[in-house]
Amino acid sequence: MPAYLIPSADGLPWLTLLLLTPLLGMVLVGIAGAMRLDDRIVKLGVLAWTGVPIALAALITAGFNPNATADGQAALQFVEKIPWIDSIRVDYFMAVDGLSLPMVLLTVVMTPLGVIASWGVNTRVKTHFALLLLLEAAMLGYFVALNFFFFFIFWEFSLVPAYFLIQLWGRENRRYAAFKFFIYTMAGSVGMLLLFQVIYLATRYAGAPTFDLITLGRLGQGLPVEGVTGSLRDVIFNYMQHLGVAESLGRYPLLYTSIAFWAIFIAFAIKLAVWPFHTWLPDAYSEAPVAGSVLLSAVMSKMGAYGMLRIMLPLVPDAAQYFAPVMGGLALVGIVAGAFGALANISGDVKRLIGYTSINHMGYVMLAIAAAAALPGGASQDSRAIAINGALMQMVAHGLSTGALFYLAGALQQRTGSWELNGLGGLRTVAPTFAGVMGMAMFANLGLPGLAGFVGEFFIFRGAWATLPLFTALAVIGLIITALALLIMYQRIFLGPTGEAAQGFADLRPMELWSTVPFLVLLLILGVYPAPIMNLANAAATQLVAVFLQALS
Amino acid sequence: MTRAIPLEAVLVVAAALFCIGLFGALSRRNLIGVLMGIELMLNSANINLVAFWRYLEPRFITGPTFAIFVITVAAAEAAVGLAMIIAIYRSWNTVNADSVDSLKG
Amino acid sequence: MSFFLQYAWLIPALPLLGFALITFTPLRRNKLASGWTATGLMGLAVVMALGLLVGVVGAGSTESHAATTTTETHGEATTETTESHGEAATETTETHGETTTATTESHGEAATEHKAAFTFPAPVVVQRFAWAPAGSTNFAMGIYVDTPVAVMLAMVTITATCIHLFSIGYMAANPRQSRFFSFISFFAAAMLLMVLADNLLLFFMAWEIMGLCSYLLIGFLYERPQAYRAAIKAFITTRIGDVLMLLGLVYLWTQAGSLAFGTAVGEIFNPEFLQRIGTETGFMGMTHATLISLLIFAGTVGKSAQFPLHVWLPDAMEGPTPVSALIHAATMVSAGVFLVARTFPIFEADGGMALQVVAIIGSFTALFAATIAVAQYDIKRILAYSTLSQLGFMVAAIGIGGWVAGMFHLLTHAFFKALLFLGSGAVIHAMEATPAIEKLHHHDEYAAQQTAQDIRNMGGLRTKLPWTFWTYTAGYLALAGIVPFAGFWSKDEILAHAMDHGHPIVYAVLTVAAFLTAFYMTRQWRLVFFGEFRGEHPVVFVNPEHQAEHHHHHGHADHHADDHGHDHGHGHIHWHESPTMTAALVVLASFAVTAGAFNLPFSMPGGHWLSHIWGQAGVGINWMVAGLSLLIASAGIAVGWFSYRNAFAKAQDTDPLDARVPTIFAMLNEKYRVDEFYNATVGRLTALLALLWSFLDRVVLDGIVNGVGHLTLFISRVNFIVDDTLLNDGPDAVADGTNAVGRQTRKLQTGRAQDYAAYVFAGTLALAMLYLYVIGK
Repeated sequence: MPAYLIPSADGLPWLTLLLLTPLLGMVLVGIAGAMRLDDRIVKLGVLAWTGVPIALAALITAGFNPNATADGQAALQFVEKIPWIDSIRVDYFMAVDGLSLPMVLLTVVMTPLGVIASWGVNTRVKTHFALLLLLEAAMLGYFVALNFFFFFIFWEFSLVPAYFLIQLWGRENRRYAAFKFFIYTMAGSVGMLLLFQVIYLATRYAGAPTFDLITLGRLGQGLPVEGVTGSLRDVIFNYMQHLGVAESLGRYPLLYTSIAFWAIFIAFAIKLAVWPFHTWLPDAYSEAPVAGSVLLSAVMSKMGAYGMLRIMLPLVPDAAQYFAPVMGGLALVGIVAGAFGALANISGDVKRLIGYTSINHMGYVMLAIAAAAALPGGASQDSRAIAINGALMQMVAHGLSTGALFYLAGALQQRTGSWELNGLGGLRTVAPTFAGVMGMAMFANLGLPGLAGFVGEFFIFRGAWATLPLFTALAVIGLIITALALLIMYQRIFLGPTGEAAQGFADLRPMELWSTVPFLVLLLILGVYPAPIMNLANAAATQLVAVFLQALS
Repeated sequence: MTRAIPLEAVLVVAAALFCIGLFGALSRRNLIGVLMGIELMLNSANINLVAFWRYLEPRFITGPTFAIFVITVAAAEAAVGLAMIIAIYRSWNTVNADSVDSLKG
Repeated sequence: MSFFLQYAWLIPALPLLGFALITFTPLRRNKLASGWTATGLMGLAVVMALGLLVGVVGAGSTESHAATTTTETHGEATTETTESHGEAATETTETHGETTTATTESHGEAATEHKAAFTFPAPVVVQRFAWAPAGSTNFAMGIYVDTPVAVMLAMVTITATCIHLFSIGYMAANPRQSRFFSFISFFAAAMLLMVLADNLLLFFMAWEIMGLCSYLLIGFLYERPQAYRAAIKAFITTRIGDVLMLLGLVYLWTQAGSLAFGTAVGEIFNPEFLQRIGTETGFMGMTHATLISLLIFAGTVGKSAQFPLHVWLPDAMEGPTPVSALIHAATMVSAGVFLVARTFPIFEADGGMALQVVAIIGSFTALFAATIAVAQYDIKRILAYSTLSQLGFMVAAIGIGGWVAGMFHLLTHAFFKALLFLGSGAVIHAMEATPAIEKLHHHDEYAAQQTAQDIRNMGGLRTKLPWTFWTYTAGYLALAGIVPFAGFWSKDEILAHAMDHGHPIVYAVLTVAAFLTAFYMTRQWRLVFFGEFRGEHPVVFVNPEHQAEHHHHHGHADHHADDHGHDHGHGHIHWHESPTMTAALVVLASFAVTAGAFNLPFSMPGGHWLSHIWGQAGVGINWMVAGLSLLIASAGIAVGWFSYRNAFAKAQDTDPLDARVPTIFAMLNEKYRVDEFYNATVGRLTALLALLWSFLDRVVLDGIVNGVGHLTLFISRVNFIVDDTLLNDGPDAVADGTNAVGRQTRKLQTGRAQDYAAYVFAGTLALAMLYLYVIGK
């Protein structure tokens, strides 16, 4: 094995265990169904079971060395690599590095909140909980799989439980939303699927056929790979010449990497809800059941950003650099559109409002990715690494805060029976704890210093300023307008004279309180001292952006 | 002695025995008769095994070994077959092969 | 003393502890206990801050001691930075020594050498730890104490303690008193942390948390629409400045490689770095230094409520009065001034362009706000506009390079403005106990409070509230600039600096503002404390919210209450001054009287004390300027006194100024209609954009998505028709055939084992035949 692949120290297949735990949980739910156990016991059991992946992820983090680098890239750790389908060189290849580990942690931490948010479900309970576990397994698999074959299977497979969660337990308009969500994501990734088949053929033509994302990434970045000479761009271009495509389309290597770039970008941009591919998001988030909204916003939208970091930047850095201004522009429009979209919903649906703020926040992540790739302009490796660090921090922080916000919005709806912001007001008097907890989640979401969201945003702005100062300067509009929208939302729910909605409105129950407190505490800890997450990512981010230090095309 | 009786003669005997057994197995209505027919077919195969060994490869003992295997299997098969016949008799009250047609499509 | 230096971080930690105790423990159930806990911990912080001040000043006076303390104090916390920092400390200490010796004697030389770079006194305590990785480096966080910081800490803790003490009495009737104390403790912690910050990021974080506390406390009476609207307005308006400041910070970090205060390589006050950003062009022909300074200054404009982002501060008076005193007069709003003071070398680096903007904004605000204050009736709003105006003085002072003058005015102003606000609080508190307002209180709480704050309804309180009167008078004279009160010395230092360093326009504008200050304060003081009490028949505030919502319910009650009021109109009023409130007033009043002594413009023992410990040149007294400003202040007072001597026999009378120039008065009274202008432009635009974006989403983008969906459906429908007419017959025939074959073959399955055996035999036979005669051949 090359030096940049490090198996686990004790030889145990930690990542497979992590992946199998939720699936085993599903089996247990099935057994519980066969035994006709009480729903309440199933719920408690699933909640307890989601602790197991947390423990495993914690052990993995404890054994993870964030500073390990080798051969020009961050070392992948806990590697499991077993040949799977030899004829097309598919390996069962699992590993974590600084880019994926924060996402793994986010996934395992957010799933229990999804489970708690589903406490009120009372139709087809076991199916619901089994789907939640399946979703967790698919997301975890997506973050640790490093062979395109498995990566793509998990990518598509995560749609299935999400689709059924929306379709079966959603609100009035759920069919439309579920369908739109599913088809949109699916259609977006077709290009990527085709692309990887072409890449496979191209690498076979070059003499080293592979679906291995790390090897392809090294090829893309021009790092040495055994058996191949030249970068991925040459490999693809040679193959295009071999096919004769280059004769008709033109002999520009950048053209083919650009096509590859757009295939990848669109697939992930849809998931990340980058403008103008974002319109599925408000529908899906608002129509989904609370658990669906929590997991969709907290984890699934991050799958897009992770994919960009894992595939887009390493594989086609030249095209990414070339199109960085376009990405930055889309990010900026998304930031502004999300903010104003949220503001347009201040007298409408609370979940839709939060959904729009998510578009805004994911816009910052997109901006960071664009900035990390953008042309030099004197920007140092540090600036780019800071942008990526900020993006990862922002993803984690947004996951925690939006998850908590959706959960609390669900708790609000349980009490008032409506998702509308109209007709509320003055609830702070009757529900001070609710108001305090939701206020903190809201301030975390709008990026108040001292809470994790600010760290992410600040680092993103710092990183992006070095390469895309104009976009960065305009992006601050989003900071103001999102704050305005969220503050007005808060005011409409909690402030003002006590109205009719306050009649019999109960404060947070201990269960509800204690299920959000851990997330708020995490937000606070990471906001005051972000090093635990950023240390994980820093080395990987630094290595990732090294390729962008020179002009590539 | 080996030259006295040619291999073909032995094979003809075995073939005749097989045909008798096959005819019995296919035509007898009584299940016990069917079972006996099957035994005959197995024994004809045994004759073939032993004959080929003796005439073609006397140095190895594969032929008799297989023959002994077949005899063992035949004994077991007879036991199982009889047990099944008894079971069939208990539920259908008959051992007539034609009336046991619950596999009909 | 080393204890105070070592544990300087305890100063913000103490109020933070208070916040945590009151918020998360059962202590919150006891109003009195939470109030005293918060006050007690603030008191401890005062001790710590004074100890620190003594330690820092002592360390600054003997250089060798400074160096040792530095290494000693942070030796434990960070071993990495010890060396580099130690060098920096000694370096700056040397320069500091030179400037002090050179400038105290020859002031003229310093004036000619105007371009000589500004340097901070050497830090005495620096404690840092690695906070977050940033590529190949680590971002460090920590605390940084030099003499300006130590002085600020002392000022903030003292005023905060007084205001805490005052609040115990003032908030006694409020059921949410515990929450109030938890918020103001949190605020104090944030403010103190901001002052102590060793880098601009931590500074900004604490700055924003102060903004949060300001939001929470302005909206403390959150049932009132006016309160939560003001809170949101404050948060958003300051955030506009803050996000620009954030851009300034990322710009600065990109250029400097860190945001740490200090002069070492890689820190933001490094001379070579300042030289570089002062000459390199960034954008639109401006140097990096100019751009960074202006972006950072946007933060000041927001936080210190300078024009054009001043609109939030008067509305912020919706918060309880101690909040106005602490946050919106003494500390948070002056944080903006402190920001410019703290990053002054960057402002200076571009050769004066950024500072010119600062000076213009500052002096314009000083005059602009002073004119508005002339025509207000609300006692707190007058003080709010006065605060704006005074902040303008400080900003302008720093803008013309009068660093010491600006900081000095910041300190004195904090004391006397906190005093004035608390005094007004005591007045309002007493007014709320008068029968006319009490009966209004039952009917509409908000209108009652507004009515109680209207100076037209006061009068003659001099005898009724003697403690309040005398302390208020001290604050009033300090603000008006009468010798020897604190405000005179600091304001005079600003004016003298403007005159001496060739800024005649700034001098002129500020002088006019000073005249107006004396005038409007006299008007207020006269109307509140002199004449006859007019509160029996007050000008009642009309609450638009209340009318709209409860008109029907209260129509009858209104009438009834009026009748009731007449019966008791001339009844006995119990005027009351609470001891804790009075104590706080007295402490602050003593500072308002004496704080000028911290930086007397005379070369004598104790003279130029602040300049000296801050390592700057002291501005000597300019007798001409001092005399002129005293004359102008007296003129303002005289005009005010005589204009209002016979005004307002009863509350409903017209203001003499209104009678003379009604159009101007109306315009000033309506604050130049800036709010309305913003509503009509920025507010409308924002709402319009929101509509536009949601239209774009719903109609255009979703239209495209749904259109693609419908197109797909359409294509599949066409496809279906094609299939049905052209392609279906063949497959149908195949399907029928399959069915028929199936029906026939089904008969083969008889269910009899013997038949199956026969098939097997036949099959074997057929295979054997095949092998023998076809394949085998």
